[in-house]
Amino acid sequence: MANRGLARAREIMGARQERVDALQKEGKKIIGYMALHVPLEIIDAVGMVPYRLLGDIREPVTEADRGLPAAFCPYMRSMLDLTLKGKLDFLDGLALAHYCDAQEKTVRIMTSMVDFPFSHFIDVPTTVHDYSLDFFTTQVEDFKKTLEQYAGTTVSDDRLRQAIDVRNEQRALVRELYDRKKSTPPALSGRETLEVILSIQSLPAEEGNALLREVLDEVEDRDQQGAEGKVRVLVWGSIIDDPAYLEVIESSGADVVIDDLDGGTRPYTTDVETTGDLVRQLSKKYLVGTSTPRTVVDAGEGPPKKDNIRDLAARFKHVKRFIDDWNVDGVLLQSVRYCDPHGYELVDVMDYMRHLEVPAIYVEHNYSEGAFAPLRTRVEAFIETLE
Amino acid sequence: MGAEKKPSAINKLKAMYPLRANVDESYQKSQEAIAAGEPAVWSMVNWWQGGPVMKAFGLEVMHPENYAAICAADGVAQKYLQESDAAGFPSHLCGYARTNYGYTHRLMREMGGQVPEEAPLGGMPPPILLVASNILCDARFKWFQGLGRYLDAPVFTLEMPTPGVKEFFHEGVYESCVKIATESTREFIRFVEKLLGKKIDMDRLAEIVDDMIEMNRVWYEVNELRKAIPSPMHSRHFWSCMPTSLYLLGDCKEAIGQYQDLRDELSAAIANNAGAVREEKYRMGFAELPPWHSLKFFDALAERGWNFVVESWAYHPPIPIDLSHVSDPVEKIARYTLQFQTGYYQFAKDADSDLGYMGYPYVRWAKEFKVDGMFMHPLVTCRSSSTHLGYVRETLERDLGVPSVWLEGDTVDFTLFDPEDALRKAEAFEDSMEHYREEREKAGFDW
Amino acid sequence: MYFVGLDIGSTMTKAVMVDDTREIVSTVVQQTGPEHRRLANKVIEQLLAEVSVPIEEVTFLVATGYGRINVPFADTQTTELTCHAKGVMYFFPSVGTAIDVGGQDAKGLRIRDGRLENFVMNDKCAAGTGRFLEVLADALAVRLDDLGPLSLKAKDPVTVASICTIFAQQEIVSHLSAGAPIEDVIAGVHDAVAGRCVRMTRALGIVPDVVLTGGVAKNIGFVRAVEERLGEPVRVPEDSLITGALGAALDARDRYHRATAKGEVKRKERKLTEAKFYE
Repeated sequence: MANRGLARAREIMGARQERVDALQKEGKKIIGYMALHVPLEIIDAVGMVPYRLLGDIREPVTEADRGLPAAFCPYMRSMLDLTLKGKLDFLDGLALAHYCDAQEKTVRIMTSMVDFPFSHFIDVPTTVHDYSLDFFTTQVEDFKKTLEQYAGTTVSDDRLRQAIDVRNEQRALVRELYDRKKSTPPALSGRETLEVILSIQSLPAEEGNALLREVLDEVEDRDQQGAEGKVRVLVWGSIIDDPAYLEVIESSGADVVIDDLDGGTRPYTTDVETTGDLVRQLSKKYLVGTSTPRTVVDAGEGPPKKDNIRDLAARFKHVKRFIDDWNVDGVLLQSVRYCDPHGYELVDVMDYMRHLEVPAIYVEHNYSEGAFAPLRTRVEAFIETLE
Repeated sequence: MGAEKKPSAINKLKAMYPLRANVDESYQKSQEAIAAGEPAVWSMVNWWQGGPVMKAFGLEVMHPENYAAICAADGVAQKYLQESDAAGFPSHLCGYARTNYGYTHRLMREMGGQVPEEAPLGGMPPPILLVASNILCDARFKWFQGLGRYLDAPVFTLEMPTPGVKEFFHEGVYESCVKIATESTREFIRFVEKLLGKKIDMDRLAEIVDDMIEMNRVWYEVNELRKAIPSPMHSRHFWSCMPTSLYLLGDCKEAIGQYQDLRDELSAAIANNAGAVREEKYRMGFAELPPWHSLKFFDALAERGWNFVVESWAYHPPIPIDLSHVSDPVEKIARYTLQFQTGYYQFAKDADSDLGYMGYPYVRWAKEFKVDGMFMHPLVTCRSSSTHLGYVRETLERDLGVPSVWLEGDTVDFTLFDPEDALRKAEAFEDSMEHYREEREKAGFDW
Repeated sequence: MYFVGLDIGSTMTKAVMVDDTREIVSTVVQQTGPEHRRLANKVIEQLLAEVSVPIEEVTFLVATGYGRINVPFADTQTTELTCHAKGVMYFFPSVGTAIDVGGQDAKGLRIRDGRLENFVMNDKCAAGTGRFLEVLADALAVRLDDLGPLSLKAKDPVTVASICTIFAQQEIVSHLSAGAPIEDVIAGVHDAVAGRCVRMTRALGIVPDVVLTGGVAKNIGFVRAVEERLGEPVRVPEDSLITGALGAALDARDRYHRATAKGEVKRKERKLTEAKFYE
């Protein structure tokens, strides 16, 4: 690939399968994953490549009814559909986790209906108490053991530390990338950011880091003189795995300067500490240090009686930080239809936005190309209300 | 001379009545206690993890899931659903959650904490505590978390792991599951002690736990008796008798006696070759949650000889497990509820299935209860209780030659349920079941 | 100085011209038809011809509605949500919540302090839009315009419970076969559509004055059904079809004056070219 930086990211996004085929030809084993709770470092450390599985909004879902109801997370329906159509047959294995009901139930159906050379399910607790972390740590330990067996190798502490260092570096580079979006106008668009994130989620870690460095250099030199900033928007919510979606938002008059998305900041806001028990530290980052709507974060010690605003402030402090530090004008909450964790969560986020007096709307969409025109109208109208 | 009321094609079981009566009695007792100043707790169904603890504390426990079904049957749910829509909760969320959001909005924001007059069965007063559970579905803790906009009652989320099937049998995993379940339950006890300002009576807890395990052991035996041909007990009876166990209604020791009476009645019926329906032509399984509002529909099917012999995995007691060697009642609770979650995992693992709970159990049951056909009832807003049905249908048909019939519904939107549609399909489905019976015989199955 | 708003809906195309005092000087309403992309320039020609205003005197032109993207001579596009809000405010300055029900979509608008504050849209499901009433009129072999007066004669409106227009059609047929009077069936369908529109809007908050607009607001039976559902009286503009186009014209005026104040007016060439087909 001759392209560099953003052009390379776009190229990879348009040809993910080709990149993966090339890696497999080199002898690399590809382990597919979806959930944010899968500790990528362990896959890295056994010498395999973690590969984020995305759905396909352009592929009509024709097989998924065998295993899933119609009124169900469309991303998961797409994943089951692709699985049953053999589109995941190239994978050397699956690393699965209890991200949410839909995913937990779908992956069990996937592995029961189709054979994979390797699969492992990691259960994820709902809360983040000490006992929850203890449990998650044993789940991660077990995952490490089975993957080691499959790989025919054992992972020493040193190798694990190395893998953690590389991923910590990646997370820091991503954070730096997002820092460049604090400016007016932001140094790169939401669409470009998503392309970069989704491409590094398809590459070996070192390669991803190299790409990030290229992108950082490229946007450093970008001539933004005289460019007008548009309305600055934070996008929150469920799966966005097609950059065209953010393109629609941005061509409607907004700059997506920051996000709270799985294909955005969520995996990258915290690092793995490398002191003491590495597996436990890894588990801590992936459970406690990863914000998803399914994870229940209590407001913490204090009187047992609930104080709703204190609770909301504790749960969404990262969103407030984003709004403050990225100078956000408005918040676009979006979710695929039938998403339960985001469906319950969004009302609380809206309440909190109202409390902060930050304009916010909620747009629901159906994970298909048909979603774009309605999305455009709603985003345009939202921006018009901010004018 | 009036028209004679035709007797139901489903038999009457004497022992069912006291078990069923526990539901209304328990509501009434709670209302009286609350009127006398006892605090109310709202709890999710927690499959014997939180229930015994709350019983040991003597708490009055109300069940919003169950209450929402009552609101729906009573016709007041519509109003609450509207309030939920107005609050911005998406309409695909669990119908029970939405009903409860609307109810709580009305309770707190319109009635200042007083039970509204349209609320059936005396309503649910504002609670001092919300007990959530992460078993089987996310709604059951997200929902209570969302109530924070109306209630200042603290929420405690009980943890129960959902391990992978093959992973469950890896070294150390079972112990780690017991550990999180135990510690979560212990934390729950501490939490409630702090809230109430009083310590739990551990001896009382130990007694309740042992009684509860024994009660469910007997209840399990009852259901095993339904394997007889003809089956002496219909799903309708099951759904009436089940709440005593699931919600730990009334006194556990009394409940043991009630389930024993039921067991004895069924044993006698078997001895007399008496089945639950007039003429058992087809042995049916049902998944998952029943259409509470339209149970009479089963009578029409019973007329055709459809005997529902097994159903609703989520409501069944766990496969009995001997925990007599466990001295700590909190650990006993943990192991017991874990048994509910994972009791069928070994069977699933042996069959190379990852649907160790909810899904695979039906495949096992189809064999054990000699099921001729499955009745699938997916619910539009309850994904948790509908997701396994496709896999079950496919596996049953392919591996055991057992066909399925489908009828969609919803937890609270009854307009979606069309029993006429099922009755129209019944004859064709009977042909299908006959055909598959022949296929099974050819393939060497014993039913 | 004249300001023009063009609202290209999937069923009807509407154009309104106002002068700088916000007075409505010309209006055109036409079926959109299959060639809607090419129609826009003709509609404007007609709008101008009615009052003999030359195109050069059109100071600013805003396109809105489903077809707004493909109006090459529009100075800018504004969503129908903002435009309907402005149009409704013109007729009823005290509006709190507006419901706009068109042939293919329905919108809820929350208006506060003279601006659109929040909104909700149904552009996916026919059962909460005028489409459902078209299906009904078809099934009963009755004119769309007659539905309203007929429904007012209902004695015992039927319940139409189906979520989906397709199943509802079956329900309608069974009611008729069971001998339900045609008026009762019509009233039942009005109630079903009204129910969906009201339900959609509840999330915004139903705040008086409640205004009902859009093509379907011309149907008196539907208006009554909405009032029943809301438990509130509703106000309907005299010409409920043009609120979008009127709002677009007013928006054109607002934008022009704002841009002039900032010293930066961007306008398109005053040539009514046909839209080029894309894709």
